[in-house]
Amino acid sequence: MDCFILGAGKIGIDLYIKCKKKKFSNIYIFNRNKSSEGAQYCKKKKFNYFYTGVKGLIKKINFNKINCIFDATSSESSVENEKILRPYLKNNFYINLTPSKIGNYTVPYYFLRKIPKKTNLITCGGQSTIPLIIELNKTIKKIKYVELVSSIASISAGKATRENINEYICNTQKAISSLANIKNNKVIINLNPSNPPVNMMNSIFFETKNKLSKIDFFKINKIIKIINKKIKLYIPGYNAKLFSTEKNNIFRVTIRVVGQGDYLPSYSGNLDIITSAAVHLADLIYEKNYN
Amino acid sequence: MKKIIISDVTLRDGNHAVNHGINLKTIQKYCSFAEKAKIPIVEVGHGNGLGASSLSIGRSVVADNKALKTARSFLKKTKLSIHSIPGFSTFDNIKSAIDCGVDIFRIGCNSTEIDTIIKQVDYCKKNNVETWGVLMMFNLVYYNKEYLKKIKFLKDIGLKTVVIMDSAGCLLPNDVKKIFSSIKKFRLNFGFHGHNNLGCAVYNTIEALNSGATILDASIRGFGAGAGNTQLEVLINILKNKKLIPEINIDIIYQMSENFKSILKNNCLNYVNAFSEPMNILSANFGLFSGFASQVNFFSKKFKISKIEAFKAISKKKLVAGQEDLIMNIIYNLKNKNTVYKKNK
Repeated sequence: MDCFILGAGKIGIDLYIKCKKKKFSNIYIFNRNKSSEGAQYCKKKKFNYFYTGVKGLIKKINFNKINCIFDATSSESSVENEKILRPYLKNNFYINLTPSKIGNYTVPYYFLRKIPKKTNLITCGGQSTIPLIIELNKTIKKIKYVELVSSIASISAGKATRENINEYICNTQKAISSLANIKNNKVIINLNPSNPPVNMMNSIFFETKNKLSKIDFFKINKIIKIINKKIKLYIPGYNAKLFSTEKNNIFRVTIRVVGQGDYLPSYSGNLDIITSAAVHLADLIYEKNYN
Repeated sequence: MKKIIISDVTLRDGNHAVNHGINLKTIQKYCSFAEKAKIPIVEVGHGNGLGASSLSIGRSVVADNKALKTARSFLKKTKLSIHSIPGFSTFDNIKSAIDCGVDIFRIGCNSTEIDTIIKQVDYCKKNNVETWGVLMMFNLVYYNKEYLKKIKFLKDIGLKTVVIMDSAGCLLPNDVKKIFSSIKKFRLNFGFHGHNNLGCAVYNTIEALNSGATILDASIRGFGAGAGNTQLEVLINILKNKKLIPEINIDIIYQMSENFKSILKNNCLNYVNAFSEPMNILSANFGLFSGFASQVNFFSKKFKISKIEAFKAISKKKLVAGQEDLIMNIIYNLKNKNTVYKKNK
């Protein structure tokens, strides 16, 4: 299986390195600005790099094979890319890592029976929290409000991330309401400029209709343990922990995500969780189609 | 000389001091007073601005839209402004604020991340509303001399007004003088927003004025985050004596100042006068956001940790405004020396 990566920013390069560790045959990376920092890095490391953008991708791709196309550009560019790629997607999988609306919302923490042709990996905040929100909403049925606060290290937020803050919030909120079915939700993101950089931290606040009993908290802890185990399969530095609060209808879960340090150091858990999810998804596609 | 504009942040920054509990009645009373006293601008909203009402920071008693509409109905000549931080607020929030009749949008974020405001500034401009840029936590870029670049950036994206916020309350009059004299060359309208942690808010504001600032933020009785803001009565009195703001009626401001405590009390808001408590002094020393004080106060009591130790630990992590959710983790970890995550491993 061939992998095609659009965008040579922080996420694109991290994806490239992660794909290389897997058994995919050919990996290509494209962008449109050959003088960018990422492009320089690709050349230096002798990656399969092309500055011809999405049009170059179409020329390179072998349509008889089943391929993965990762879109790690920005929200705006992904819309254009998808338009150009649409006629070619028959045999290929399009994995969207930008916060645009394209594709079906996917968090690959469970085994997917059918992988959609176009998947949307929501956002880093969504990837790290939505599995928990889905599972907790199944067991604790009285959740009426959920709030997600993510803090990421400033240095790990690239150009597109900074421009797409609005899309980040809207996309994560929509994904929570469509995947976890909690319409009343709020998403907040902070960039922390501290040096040395901080790890990615997420706090999820849950508000329930009724008071929570001890049994409820027991169940919550059990679910957190299961999710920790499942997500650790593709991102080992994932760790969720329950905190009770002073009000007995509110509880919070704090999730720390430590990256694997492939391209950027381990504090960039926010990049790692979405690239790891993308590669995990590609892995699932590979297993289904080639085994 | 350019006209001096007083921007009253009582109903926004003051929300930090009462856990975002300012209700409709207080907004009504205060706005009608501001209108009578001819204060040019009144800012309304959650302490962290538009869309920031949340469990992690504190929920506003009144929804943004309701607060803005109420304020609007009491303000005729006085302009209504709002603070907005991308990351809390979205375009939808801005859209509904425009529909509520907000005149001025103060879009800001921590000075180091100022490039994240571009999209919101563009959005506001598209909708033809007055847009200002706000550099919060200015100390983050002051000490490493990054600030000229940041101001140039704001000018380049087409902003004409920039407010500098000493959110940590750690700048001294000398610093303020240096900042404003060195940014004069950009020929923008500059504003200053002071905090009183080191007892310099009024002095800093006057120093900013003398060095070219024309927009001065203040709040009545210094009602604001941490040790409070620049005290409105004092500032107006000084400016009045200099004959700089002839239009403002100072007698009404004195009246309001005397009544303000009872208004808060009648609306069940528990508030003591703005004062720089040891923890506020410490937070300024560490250059931390003034608004952390209330959360630190709460959790250090809960986990029986001294506030001083708590602030020291927070300063090590260099938390910034918006990361209030992590204060609890840090204090909790202080209590259980072997940290939370080690246990899980």
